[in-house]
Parts: sequence; structure tokens; C-alpha cells
Amino acid sequence: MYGRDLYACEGAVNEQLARYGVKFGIYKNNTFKEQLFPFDVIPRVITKEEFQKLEAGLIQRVDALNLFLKDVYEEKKIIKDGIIPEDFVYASSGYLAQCEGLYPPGGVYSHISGIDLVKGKDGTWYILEDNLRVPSGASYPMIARELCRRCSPATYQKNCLEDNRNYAGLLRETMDAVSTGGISVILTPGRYNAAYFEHSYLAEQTGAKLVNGSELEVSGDCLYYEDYSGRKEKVGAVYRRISDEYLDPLNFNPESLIGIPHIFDVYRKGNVALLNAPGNGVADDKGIYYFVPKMIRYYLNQEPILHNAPTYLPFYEEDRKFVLEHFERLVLKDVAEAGGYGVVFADRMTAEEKEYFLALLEREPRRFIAQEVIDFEDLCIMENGEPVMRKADLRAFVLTGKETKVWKSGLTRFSRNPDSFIVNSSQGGGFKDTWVLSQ
Amino acid sequence: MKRWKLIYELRILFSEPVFDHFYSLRCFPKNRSMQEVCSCAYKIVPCSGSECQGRDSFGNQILYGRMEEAGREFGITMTAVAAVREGPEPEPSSYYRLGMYRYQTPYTSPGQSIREFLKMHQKPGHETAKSPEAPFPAGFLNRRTEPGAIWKRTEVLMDEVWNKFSYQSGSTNAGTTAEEAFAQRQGVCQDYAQILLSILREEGITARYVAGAVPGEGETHAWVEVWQDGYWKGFDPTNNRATDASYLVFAVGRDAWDCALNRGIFRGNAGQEKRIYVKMEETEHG
Amino acid sequence: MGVISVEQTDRLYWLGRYAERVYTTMKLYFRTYDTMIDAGEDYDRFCRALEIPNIYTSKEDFISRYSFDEEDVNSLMSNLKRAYDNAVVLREEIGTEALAYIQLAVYAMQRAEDSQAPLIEFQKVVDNLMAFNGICDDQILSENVRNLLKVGKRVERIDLYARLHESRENLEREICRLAGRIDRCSLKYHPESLDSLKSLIGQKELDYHRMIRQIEQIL
Repeated sequence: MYGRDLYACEGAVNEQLARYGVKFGIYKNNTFKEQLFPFDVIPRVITKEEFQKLEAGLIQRVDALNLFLKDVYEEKKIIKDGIIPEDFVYASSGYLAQCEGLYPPGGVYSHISGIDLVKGKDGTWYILEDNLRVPSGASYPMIARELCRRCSPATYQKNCLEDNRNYAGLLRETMDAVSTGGISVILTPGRYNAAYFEHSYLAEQTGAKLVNGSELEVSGDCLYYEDYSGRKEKVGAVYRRISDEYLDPLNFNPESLIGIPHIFDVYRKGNVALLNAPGNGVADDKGIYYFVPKMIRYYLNQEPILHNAPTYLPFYEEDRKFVLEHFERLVLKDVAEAGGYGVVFADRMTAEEKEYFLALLEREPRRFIAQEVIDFEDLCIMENGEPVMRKADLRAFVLTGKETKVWKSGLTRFSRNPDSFIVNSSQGGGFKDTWVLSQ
Repeated sequence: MKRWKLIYELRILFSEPVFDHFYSLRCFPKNRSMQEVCSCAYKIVPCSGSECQGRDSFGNQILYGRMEEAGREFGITMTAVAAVREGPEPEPSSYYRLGMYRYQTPYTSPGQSIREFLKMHQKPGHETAKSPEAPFPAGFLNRRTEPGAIWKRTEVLMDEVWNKFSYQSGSTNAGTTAEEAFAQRQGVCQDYAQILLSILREEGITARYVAGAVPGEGETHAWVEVWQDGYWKGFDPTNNRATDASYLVFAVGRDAWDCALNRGIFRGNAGQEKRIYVKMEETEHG
Repeated sequence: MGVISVEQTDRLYWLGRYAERVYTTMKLYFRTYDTMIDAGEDYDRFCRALEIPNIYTSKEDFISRYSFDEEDVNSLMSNLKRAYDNAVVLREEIGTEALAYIQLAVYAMQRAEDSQAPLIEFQKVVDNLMAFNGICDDQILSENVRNLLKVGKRVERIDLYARLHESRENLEREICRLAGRIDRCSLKYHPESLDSLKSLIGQKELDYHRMIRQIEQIL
């Protein structure tokens, strides 16, 4: 087992994680709390060959998603050619009419994509979902690697693996590739955000400035960062960690206090790059997920290398019949929800719930997708000194600047609850480092 | 063709000085195939200088900026001469690229009262765009009907709305949704327009909100445009009629929010008093 | 990166002040704590010296609340938490390593609360604050950032020394150190307050009260 040496120094690793405040924020009973992100020292290991396939598949997928976003906000050929019904575009909560006809700097929409995968017991990887808005999590395996190397040098001497601490370099490269000239900043909603550790750590590691909305200002046709004496520095790229809706109170939610008035107007003029582009939500909801393999065939004329989990769209009559007939074995997901919410397993429903749900499905067929429950491979974690098996997924990070690259690592999240499939940190999940072997 | 002289004046008085006042203005006549802006000049109050011009995703001209000094007053005076030709406005984009005008927004989404209205005005078996059997529901109607049929249908629905709804100034505000207004059966031109949009979109019809002006003195006006076969035709639900060369277009969008002629945010708890004055009259000169 | 926003400038200054406040008051607290072991009720004198309200009902109450109560705005824990709150939003200015020392000081403080011998943990709080000062000196490349932290630290120290009626020599040294820094960072301050501090320290009879007033309004 790769983790034996590492497990021996678990105490030291945890002490290091605490020292550096590797935390995430959580709201409990309306009060903000920071807690350490539970870390399991035993890494998930991906062989070189296996990763090469993942890499090719992820690049293909993210390239197709970027082409889709460009198409959806311009020509809409994929709708015209009948590949995707327009309902799935225009009725999606992530679709922003404000982005129609807008060409983002560098032509990139999804710069930082977090693609969630699981590995089936048969060794096949399945895509669970795409996160093209503000995927978080890369900083955790990055700093965990740094600290584990300190605690157990022997482990890393013995094993040949890809260094994942280059993530900041990749991110920097991505920001530079689309920057319109000037400094790069990371825009945070503030320290009471769940991922504040990540925002500040990535800022330090990339050399970008960490800012909140009030520190940026639009003046004339450009965006500026203003210092104490009123000196202004032009901003060329904003890696924003706030959602579309709060970005600009004059173009989106007028109630937003964390946004920057007119930032969207200068973005539209091509005078600042926003990473990721606003409007990406139209490409990553659970309804559009069904169509991603079709996008790959349509835009790239290739067969998808990585597969979706088998998915049914009750929107289509045929699929609806299938869902009703095989209801018990499926998992149902609300397309508008994220973070592990809005997911229900049909076999765990009471008769009443089932009846209610079927009526809902009949009334709002577009709102749900149904998926086969994948029997996915459990990973070993240490719990009170005992190895136990738990559900886990992998969030791969794919970065697109001048070209699309896959970070040779990823965030492996696991459920600490033996009966749960939900791995999200907001719901008590932990994380592991992800090793990609270099030989 | 008719030639119009237009004055638009906006004045906002604040009860105390406001800081960091950012604004976006869309109060300019639009240049388009059937409407030519011959001249247009503006002046920001208290002073012009740092503002920028831009264009939003609906093709509207916007003027945006920030008041550098704290102040108790803000406004704009705009004068323009524009020529309007009679007839529907050609739309170069294809049907597929106009999807955003076929879908409801938070301001137009129907609720119980609009749904009940629809139930009454759709015969059994009536094929609306939202019927789940259609493989590509939205647009079903648009692609199958005879030339002008959608506009005829619009006239029927507009007439029904007009009969059920009455004009009452002050009964709604800028944030009132179509459903809220329809439930109380009264409102102003913005509400007429959004209600009709809501109903049209429920039938899968491509339709948009228009903010603009009509001859006379007073406030701005709002109406709708309905797309068919490459053209937008204007309908004024407040007056239950089709538009003509006496309707001057400022901005188009999915709803009133998209077309807000003036939008602003500032710091401070000041109360504000907004006054708008519009004057539009026919002229011989350019 | 050369530019620092108003917010960051402010935070750096206050990080400097709070870290110093915990450091200096903790050293004083060590002495008070020691006398209190012999049943002395020394905490009233301590409160008066620092000009904080004596809201404590007993020696035990003082030890527990002044040390650890986050609701008590004057407690050591409150001040340390405020240092942390400023530090945690300054990661890319001061660096992860420097931030870690403030984090470690917080952990030590939390451990002290559960300890029978809190002074041992308090010592670790002081150790970490010393290390924080050291790393700021050594590893923060931006002179402006370094000076902002130091100005905060000096201002706090002068304020505390004046309240504690420290010697002329000690106060004079701190005022000189402040004067040497304050022009080298992006803070806007009142030079007349600094001038009057310089003249106050030269007077035969030290007027601590006026010195406190001057240092409090220097920014």
C-alpha cells in the first residue's frame, strides 16, 4: 500500500495542516465557522496509462464545452441542427441573455473547469458532472502534497509521481493567456466564504492580488485596482470567485453589495478578462450534461473518450417511460441544484414521497434527470486507526488558456458516512491527495 | 415616413448628498432599419465628462459612468431628431438566435391569474408551444403558421387583455411583475406590455419589450414587438392597437428591466425624487 | 506587487497593533499572574494600569475571562482573534509562513484554556508572536508592507508604555523608532501629533496622559 509510510506520520501531517490553517468555512445555525478540512493521508493513485486516457478524455470534453458556450451565445448551430432542444438552453437558470453576442478575451469561456468523475468497480471512469462556473478545491491537494513531503520524504523518494504543486503556475499561465494587459487579481466575496482559504492561498501562490469588490473600480473604459494614495493600476484579468449574479449590480442582481458596478460593461468591450466567463452555467447544469457526448460528436466529430453515467431525460417521452418503469433503481437529480443537494435515490423513498415525486416529474419533466446508480469503487480511508472503505469521487481540474491542459492530480473527495454517496465538504466529506504516477 | 423632434429630461433629487453614484442610461433613440437618428445630443447634470458609451446584448446604446463628486442632483437632458418609417422592423438574425425572446423572465413569468386567463382563451386541443408532445416545443407555432398568423393571434390576445385590464397610474411600480399586475387588474404601460409578453411567450411566440416615446408631452411609453418570418411588428397593448411611424424606439429587451432607461446605484441612505419629462413633436427639419 | 489598497493598509496596521498588544500585555500579565498565585488580588491594579474596566468579580473570574473570554473585548483572546482576523485576509501580503505563526499563537491560546498551567502555553503564544515579528523582518520583501506592520506595532507600544508609565528612556526609544518608520510607508498621519510627542518626551515631568492622547490621534 502506497500510504503505509505516510500513515505512520499522520499525526505530523495533521499538525502541519492545522498550522497552515487548511480550512473551509461552513454556516451552522447561521453562524460562520471555520473548520479543518478532514484529510486522509492515503492517496488515490492513478497510473500513468490510466491518466493518459483521462487526460485525453478531459481535454476533449472541455474543448467541446467551450465550443458549445461560444455557439450558444452566438450562432446557435447546435440548436438549429436539432442536437439540443432550445428549452435546455433558454430555460436554464445558468443562461444569461446579457452574454448574447459577447466574445470573451482570448475566446475562452471555461478557463478553469472542475470535472467530477467516479470510477466504477469494473475500472471504467464515468463523468458525474461538469463545473464550469467557480469550481473550487485545487488548493487542498496542492498544499497537502507540500506538507506530506515534509512529513514523509521517504514516501516520495520511493515513488515516482507527478508533482502537483505546479497548479499555481498553470493558473497563472491561464490568467496571462487571456489578460488584456495589467495586473491579475483574484476576486473573493470575502473571508466568510467557504473557500476563502483557497482564494488567499492561490493569490499568494500565483502572485495575483486578492481583492474584494470594493477594491476594484471601473473608470472610463477599464477596470482598476486603487491603492491607498489613489494610485491606480489597470486590471487585465479577474479570476473571480463570486457567482455571475453578484458580479455587477448594474447588469445583474441590483442588490449585490460585493460586485463591481460596470465591470460587465468593460468586459463586454473586451477590456478585461473574467475567469470564468459569465453565463457558463448554461453548459454545466444537470440537464445539459446529458447532451455533452452529443456535443463532442457534433463539434469535434469524435467519439467521446470518457462516458457519462447512463442518464435519462424525462423530457423525452421514451426516457420518461423508461424512468417510470425502472424508477426503483435510479437516482434522480434536480437540474438546478448543486453541492450534493437535490439528489434523491428512488429506492430510499417512502410511498408518499414517491407519489409526490412522480407527480412532480409529470408536471416538470425538464427539471430532473435520472441516472443509473453506478456501483463505484470504494477507496480505503483510515478511521480511528482502522482501514475502512468509503465512496469517493475525483474532481479533475482542466485549465484552458492558449491551449487546454489537465492538472496532473485532482481533488479526491470521500464520504465519511458509510451509507452515503455524498462527498461534498459542505456535507461533512473529507479529501485525499491524488497521485498520478510518472512511470 | 415621419420626422420627430424629441426632448428627454431626467432629474433625480436626493434628500442628502450621495457618494459613488454609478449610472447606466438607455434613453436614446435607437438607430435601426426603420428608424434613423438624424441628430442626438445630451448633457449630464451636473456635468458631463467621464461617461462612456457602450452597447448591450440587445443592441441598445448605453451611456454609463460615475459621478466623481458627491452630489444631491443627477440627471440628463437629451435632444434628438429621428425619422421613423412605417412598417415592421426587419430582423437579420435567424429564428434560432432569438430564443431569449421566447422564454419568460422573472418579470414575465405567469402565475395563477395569467394561467387562468390562458385557460379561458385557449380552445381545447389548442396547440401551444409548451405542449410536451412536441419534440421541439418552443417555436412550434412560429414555424407552422401562415404569414401574419402570429400577428393576428397577438391582436386577439391583446384585445382580451385590454378588456380585462385598466390603466391606473401609480397602481404599480418599476419592480411589479406581470403576474402581480394582472392579479390586481390594473397598471400602466409597462404592465400592459409585460402581461402581453407573458401570455405570448406561454404560446411559444417570440416577443420582446420596447421602451420608447409617443407624440405629446409627458412620460415615456412601452409596448411590445412580435416576431414572425424575419420581421418585428409593434403592438401597443395600452392602446390596443398596432404601432406606426409615430412610435419612437429607445430600447428593446426581454422585459422592462432589460430596457430600464435609467439605472443607478449609490452609497448613502438618501431618499430620491425622480422626474421625467418627454416631449415629442413632428418636425420638418433635420 | 507595489500597490496596496486602503483596506489592506488598514489591516496591516491593525495586525501590527493587535499582535503587539497581545505580546506586551501578556508579558505584564505574567507578573500579575505570578503574584496572584499567592492569593493576592492584584488584578485591579492590572486593570487600572491598562485602563481597562475592571468587570471581574474575583481572581478566578479575572483569570478565566481576561485570558480567554471572546465576549470580553479587552481579553487576551479577543485581541489575539482580532490579530488573526486581520492576518487571515493578508495571506498574499505577508505570506502563508507568517500567517501560520499567528494561527499557532491562536492554537496555543486555545490549549491554555484547558491547561492547569496556562503560563506554559502563554509562553508559546509569546514565542509565536516573536517568530511572527522575526519572519516579517526577514521575509517580507515589500518595504511598505513591513513598515505598515511596524508602525502599528510602535504606535501600540507607545500607547501601552504611556499607560503603564514606563521610563522616559523606553518611551523615547519607541518614539524615535516610530518617527523613523512612519514616513516610509503609505499611511496618512498627523505630523503635528508626532512633533508634540517628541516635545512631550523632552519635558522634565512626563505627562503620560497627553502622550496617550497624542498617540491615539496620530492617524
